[in-house]
Amino acid sequence: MGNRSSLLLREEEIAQIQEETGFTPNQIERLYSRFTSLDRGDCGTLSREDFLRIPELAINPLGDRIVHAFFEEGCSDRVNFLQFMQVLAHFRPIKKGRDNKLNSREQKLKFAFKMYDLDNDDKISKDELLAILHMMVGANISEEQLTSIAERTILEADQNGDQMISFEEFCNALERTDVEQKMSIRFLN
Amino acid sequence: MSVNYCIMVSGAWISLITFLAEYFICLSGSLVERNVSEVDWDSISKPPINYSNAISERLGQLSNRLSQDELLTNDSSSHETEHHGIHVANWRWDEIGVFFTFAVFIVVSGLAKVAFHHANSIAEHIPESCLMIIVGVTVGGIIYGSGVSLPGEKRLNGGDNITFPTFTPRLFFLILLPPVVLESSYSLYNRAFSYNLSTIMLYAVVGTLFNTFTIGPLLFLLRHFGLMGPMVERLTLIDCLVFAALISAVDPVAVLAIFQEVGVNEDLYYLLFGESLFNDAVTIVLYNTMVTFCEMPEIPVGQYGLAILAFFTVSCGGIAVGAIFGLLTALITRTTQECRVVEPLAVLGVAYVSYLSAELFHFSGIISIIICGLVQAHYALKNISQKSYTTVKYFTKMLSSTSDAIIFLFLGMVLVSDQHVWHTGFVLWTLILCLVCRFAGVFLLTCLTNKLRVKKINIQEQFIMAYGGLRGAIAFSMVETLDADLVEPRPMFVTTTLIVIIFTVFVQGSTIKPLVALLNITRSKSEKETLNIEINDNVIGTMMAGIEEITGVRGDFYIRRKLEQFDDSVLKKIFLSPGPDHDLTRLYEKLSLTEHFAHLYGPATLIEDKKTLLFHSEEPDDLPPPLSTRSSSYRRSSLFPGVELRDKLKSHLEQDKKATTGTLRRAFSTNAYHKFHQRYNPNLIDDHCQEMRDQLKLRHLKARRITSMVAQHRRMSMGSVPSSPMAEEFSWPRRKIEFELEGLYPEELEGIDTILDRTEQRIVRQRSLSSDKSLKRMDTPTGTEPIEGVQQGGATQHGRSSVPHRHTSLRERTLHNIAESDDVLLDENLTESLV
Repeated sequence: MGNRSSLLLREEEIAQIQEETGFTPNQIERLYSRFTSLDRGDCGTLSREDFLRIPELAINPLGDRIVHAFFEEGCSDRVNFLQFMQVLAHFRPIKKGRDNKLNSREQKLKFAFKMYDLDNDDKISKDELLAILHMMVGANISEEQLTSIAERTILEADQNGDQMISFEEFCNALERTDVEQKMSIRFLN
Repeated sequence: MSVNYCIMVSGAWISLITFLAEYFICLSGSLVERNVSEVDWDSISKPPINYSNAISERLGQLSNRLSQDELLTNDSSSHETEHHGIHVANWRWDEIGVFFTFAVFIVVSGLAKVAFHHANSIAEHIPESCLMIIVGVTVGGIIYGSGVSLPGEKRLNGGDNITFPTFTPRLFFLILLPPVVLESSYSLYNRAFSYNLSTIMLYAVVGTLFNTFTIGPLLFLLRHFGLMGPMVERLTLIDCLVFAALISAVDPVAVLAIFQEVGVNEDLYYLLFGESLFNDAVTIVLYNTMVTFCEMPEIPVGQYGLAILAFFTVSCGGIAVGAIFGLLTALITRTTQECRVVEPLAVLGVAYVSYLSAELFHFSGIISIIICGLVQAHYALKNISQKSYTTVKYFTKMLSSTSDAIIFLFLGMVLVSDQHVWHTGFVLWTLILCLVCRFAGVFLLTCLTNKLRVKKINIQEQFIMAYGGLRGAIAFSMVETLDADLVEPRPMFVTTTLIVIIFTVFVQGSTIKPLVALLNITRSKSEKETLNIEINDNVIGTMMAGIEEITGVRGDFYIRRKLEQFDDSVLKKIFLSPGPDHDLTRLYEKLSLTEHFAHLYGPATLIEDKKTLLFHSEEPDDLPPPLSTRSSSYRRSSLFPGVELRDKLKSHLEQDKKATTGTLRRAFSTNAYHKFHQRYNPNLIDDHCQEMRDQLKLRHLKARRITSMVAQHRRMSMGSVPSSPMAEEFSWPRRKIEFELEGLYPEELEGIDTILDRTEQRIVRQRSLSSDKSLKRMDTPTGTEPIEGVQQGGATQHGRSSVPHRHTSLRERTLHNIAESDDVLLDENLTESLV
């Protein structure tokens, strides 16, 4: 599998992806084999259905949102490998000295922010937050309680009094969380 | 506290009953003026007076038999001192002595702890554990000098009945150690611990093995090549390995005692502390294996395999026993809704049983009680009532800090003995090897683990980890249990172990604090819980699990999510008492209550702290004009103290921002629930502030006092006589709260304006609600608000006879505000504090 995929991926493509995302060639090949295994139609791009065919992702409460994040950039129905890698690059661990614009703290936070931002207006409204809470906790908490929790959460983060959480306010609210660690995964070589 | 109380009360009852019984016997004996020993069994059939004689004789026989048993078990030179007579006063040292000395010992060690914390200058520089050792040496010296024998030496110079408590491995492992570990296991229930679990395991297992198998052979080689100087004892490789096994384990008690005071960042703390706890299984197995090898003339290869197998049974057995008993506690506490008194007992008792059952099977008791504590923290502690929770928290804290003190005291006492065998070469080389191997082990393992860790351990932290590898009482108890027939150089090992312990605790322990400062280690930060963080943690966790799925590599996030799902869907349903108890709801209730009260009483609290400035240094022309001439806006502000004082406070805030920092912190960032875990607070100072309800009550009291003070002030300005009932409230003792500057964020200071604004808005709304009433009062010069305030103060004091309208509405609003919280207890309390 690994050999086949490395054959399919040309040297200069690897170099370009490496340049843009900071992944090592080995990681790129590994992820490319994953990409091709997800790509059922063998057309070099992935559709939403391709993603949602992953069983665990389909039952993940945020599965839809995560998949959506992959399609955000190009506004098309399919993602190619480069786009795929660009999104995954957000989750590379931050290393000192090796700066990469994709996996900075701000980019990680931006990605998390997009999970909430259902209507793409760069603001989290009460309804959006409520929707996410619904996905997360399911029926464990009553509707009224969820509403008041959402209201309070917005109140907590809202600084300019517009009853919405902007990206800046979001960053401020999470200033003391260790996003760098929590939003990083180890990509195998 | 209730357990404490129960024990105290039952103790008092038992002693009272015993006393009465004895008194009765003595009295009846003297009434008939006959010696009990002369009474024969026929006397039972005689008149009632003799009946009491019979009872007393039976009791006498019983006690004689008891004391005989005691003497027999003590197997001391039992000289029969029985004479069957009545004793008006009796000296029963044989029976009571042991318990008496133990009790006094505990009290004395507690007093020593108190004394240290009053000697601030010493306590700042030297850790408590060191001081305890010093006291121990002093006590040991006195005992040694006075010639009282210790139980361990009794068989040598027998015939002495006076026993003094001393360190025995049994006492240590079965009594002193469990509370310390249990208390720490509750503090391990934390995200940072679970994130670092894999690294901790690596250090605990591989690190300990590495240390043992470098120190042991190196010691043997050094001896072999004669680098240690002349030595009388025969030192085999197995002896060296036995010694290395017991000396290489980092001790949880010592680490805890030192590092709680230092306050390093969470990751480092859990790494070091977790390692010291979990290396127990490895140490036990290594030690037992080596001791067994000592007994065997030659070692079959299969034994090595068995040793590895033993490691798994010891650790997994411990985990299983702990988990079973932890879940058992959860089941028990599900049924205690009607019988809350049992809750602390169930939690603590079952934890102890889990420790003992693990020890029974020779599993790791430490691991068992840790797992039990973690499971309890996850389920059982959520089932029990708030008060039971406080009891558990307090009781374990008390037990563990007492045990801690006693352990170090004992360690100091055993230093004074004439059985030491000092060998300079061996001691020095052991010290050097312990340090070198510890450093090498930590650096090597960190290299390994850093490759896998997302958050790397930097070189400074590695240094502290290596340097903080303190040895303690566990090593000593192990060396004590060694059989001198099997391991020839046992006395030398005992002495060397003690020296290593003393060295690590004194030299390393007291230099860690300055080193941490010197190396710029990030200190522990007080983390303010917010809903945003809580929600986002959940979202990120779920999201990352999804991303891992996409990349096709299932890692930590996947496992964690699966476990959480399983926990939510299956385990919590079985083990948690039913009710809306999602973590998010809990946090929400907690936060909204805190904030609510901060809004209610925060401004008042602020003002109260500035009361000297506001009420005493005021110029006369600042006083409000007479009631009739006031403009409506001024009327509003003077009727409601918050608004009036707010203006003054604002100007005051501008004057000295620095002085208000502390005050503001007091009002806003004192989160009762966090304080407990945030700061090292071994003696539970200001614990009443750590309880939410008490804190709220205090705030309420303050607020009420402000109201009455304003009222009084206005009355004075209007020329009326100040009311006397208030004087008592003024002298309410101010509580002293210590606050550290860390953890205050400048932006929090800005919140004061919003809060003050909101307070004003609320007051305006209330004003409009009760406007009719107030307007009516305006016309009558005597029936004004201030007087009502005074009346209210008086009324509350004299039995809450009348509740003013203003407060009723406030109360309703308050209850409305927290309508989401279904905690009835809280509501009750709220009503109580507001009325």
